[in-house]
Amino acid sequence: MSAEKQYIELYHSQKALIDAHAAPVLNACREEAARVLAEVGLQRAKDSTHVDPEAVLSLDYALNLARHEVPTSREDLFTCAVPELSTHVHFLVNEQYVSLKERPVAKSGDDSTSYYCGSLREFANLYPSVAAQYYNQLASKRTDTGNVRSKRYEACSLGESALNTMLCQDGFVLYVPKGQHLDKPVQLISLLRAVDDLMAVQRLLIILEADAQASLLVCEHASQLRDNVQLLSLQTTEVFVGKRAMLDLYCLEEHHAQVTRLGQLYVHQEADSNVAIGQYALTTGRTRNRIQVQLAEPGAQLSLYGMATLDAAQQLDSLTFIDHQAPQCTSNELFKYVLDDQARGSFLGRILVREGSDKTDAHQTDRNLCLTPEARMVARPELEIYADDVKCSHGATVGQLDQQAMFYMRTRGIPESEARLLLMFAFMADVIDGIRIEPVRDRLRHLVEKRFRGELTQCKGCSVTAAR
Amino acid sequence: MIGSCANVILTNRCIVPVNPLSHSFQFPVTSFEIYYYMSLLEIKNLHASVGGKEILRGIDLTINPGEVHAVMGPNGAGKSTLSAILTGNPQYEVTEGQILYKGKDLLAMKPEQRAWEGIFLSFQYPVEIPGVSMVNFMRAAVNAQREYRGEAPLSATDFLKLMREKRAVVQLDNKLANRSVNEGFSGGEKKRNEIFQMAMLEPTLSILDETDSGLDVDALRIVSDGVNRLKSAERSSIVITHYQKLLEYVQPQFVHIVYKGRIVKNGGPELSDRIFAEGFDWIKQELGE
Repeated sequence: MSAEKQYIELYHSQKALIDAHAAPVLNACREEAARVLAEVGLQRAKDSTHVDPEAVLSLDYALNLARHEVPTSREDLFTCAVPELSTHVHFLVNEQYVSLKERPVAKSGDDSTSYYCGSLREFANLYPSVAAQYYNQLASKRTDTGNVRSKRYEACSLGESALNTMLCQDGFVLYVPKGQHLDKPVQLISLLRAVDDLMAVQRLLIILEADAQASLLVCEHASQLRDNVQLLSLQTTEVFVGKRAMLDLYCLEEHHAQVTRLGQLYVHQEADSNVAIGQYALTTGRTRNRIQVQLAEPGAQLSLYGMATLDAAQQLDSLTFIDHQAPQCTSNELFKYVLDDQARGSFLGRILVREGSDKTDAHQTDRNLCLTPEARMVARPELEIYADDVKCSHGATVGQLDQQAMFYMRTRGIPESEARLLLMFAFMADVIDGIRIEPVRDRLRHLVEKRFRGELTQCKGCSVTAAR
Repeated sequence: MIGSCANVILTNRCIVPVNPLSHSFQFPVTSFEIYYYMSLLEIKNLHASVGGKEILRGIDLTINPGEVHAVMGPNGAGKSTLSAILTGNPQYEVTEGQILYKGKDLLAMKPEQRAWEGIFLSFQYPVEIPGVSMVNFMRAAVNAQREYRGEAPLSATDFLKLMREKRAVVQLDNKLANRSVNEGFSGGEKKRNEIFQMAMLEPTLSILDETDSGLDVDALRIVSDGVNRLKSAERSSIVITHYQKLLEYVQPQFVHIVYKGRIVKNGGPELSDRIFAEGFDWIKQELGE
């Protein structure tokens, strides 16, 4: 039996249990999601990608459907310290939002704050109409791509998102109503914790209404596991950015070899909205990130950054689909990987400029360094343009460290290892510089440097080990 | 005690300067393991090739402390290959011969080790390194050298002070010092940047590979001044050039003509004067070509 059939069967047999520990808004989407999953199935890795969702999901993971309390002591939760940055800190353990008494959750109607930040389940119960308006509007629904070839790109992660919707019980919500500006960034620390093979069905919903402004930093970690235990993070994130709203969303992944991440990120931008997204993988096991952005109304601006530092047998696929649906939108995409040892990476990027999307300004750059002959990188930059008056570019390179520059530095007495570091760090500089929050930028710079020095075994200030 | 603070050791044959900072000199000395060297550099029967093609076909050259040597020769004679070999460029292969530097086997050393031991090459074509700032580049270089000598790294303040001081020597703009290494520098700025680095690292043996090419009169004077300021009784230079002007400034005592991978003629300043007046044809004729 195929993996998706097993999960659909599980859903049908456990429906009552799943529903009982969720919220009506979430439950209402399950049947349709099960139908979509049955119809499209799970993706198989093509020759150009490495992580195979079908194969990943065929492992018999446990699911915490009965919402057993994950034993979390105060010591398990930690602060991912970013010096000089004051944040509202929130925690997600596996799929469950954890509230700490010491850390009050900001809510709508609170004296000082008028936004919601907290549990998805609670949000869906408190504000069912808002939740229903946004939840699952992007993830497991097909949107009309018209008669264009990007159809297969669109469908690319539909199965995984449908699986997520079918089983989702909780998650994280950031809801910023009209005109509200958050005083400081929100930091979500997402921790995977298990003693046996486990799938965490993670769901994030981010809503910025018109003229709202917010920054969200997501730090992903996994606690130390026993040998042979496999963790899967099936993460679906939906982001809605209203007219003239401004969002910064940065995700730092620090997982280890036993963790697989299947991420689907959907972004919908309205007129004149401004969004910066950064997906930074410092360490990982296997990761497949699928990012889809709709620039739905005129004047929307997007900056999309992706970074990966891979070694050992780590694998990371990035599949991006930027959909220019309206005129005068801007998108800037920059992805950079450094691959060491036998690491495997891929970048499949497509920009679609639909008919009538004139004055589109879309750029895509993918640059990669393979440090060993065994490292492999696949890059497939693609543009599909149906409008006449546009400015678009794309480019991809896979190369090695500049040997001339290496020699030049060594003749000045810089040891080979240090010269390598300087070059690797220089290579990553622009993708880090894309971060618009200075302390986060400095922090990442520091972490990347540590990563290249091989010292990133523990994120400073954390009580869990981020990498083995 | 011998050599405890002086940098000159008297032997029965001649005055041998010893760099008190060099690795071979360690104090306190319990067993006298000071290496004495007559010559700073001894190249013996050097053969080298690149991509299977033999470029150097038996170079012999000896350089003593304090000497300035000019190396001249037509294009493609092997002058730049010689500088590449001396600095350990991995693209070149030594097929035969030996190089002793301060009495040690130079060919066994890595490029960075050679730098620590005081060898410096001013590149004919300095390399651009986007994303690596001059400050970080120089700090890494200076501190690696200090570590080799057993010294503590320079503090940020001391380092910036040193940068400022040495930048003034070659009148290198502060703006350039804050940019990525050689990125967007003009030809003249790149060459001045090479001499700036030389001033920072204070090498024992400096090799100037056509540092004067592409420089205007003023830049040439600045570069030559920078080179002359480093002259001392212990420091030696090899100057590779096609032009008279630089040699007028730095005044080499010895001139060598390289042709087809060999040194075919040795002499003093009169030899370079004749080359500038008559070109290389008379040498080719002497060789029966």
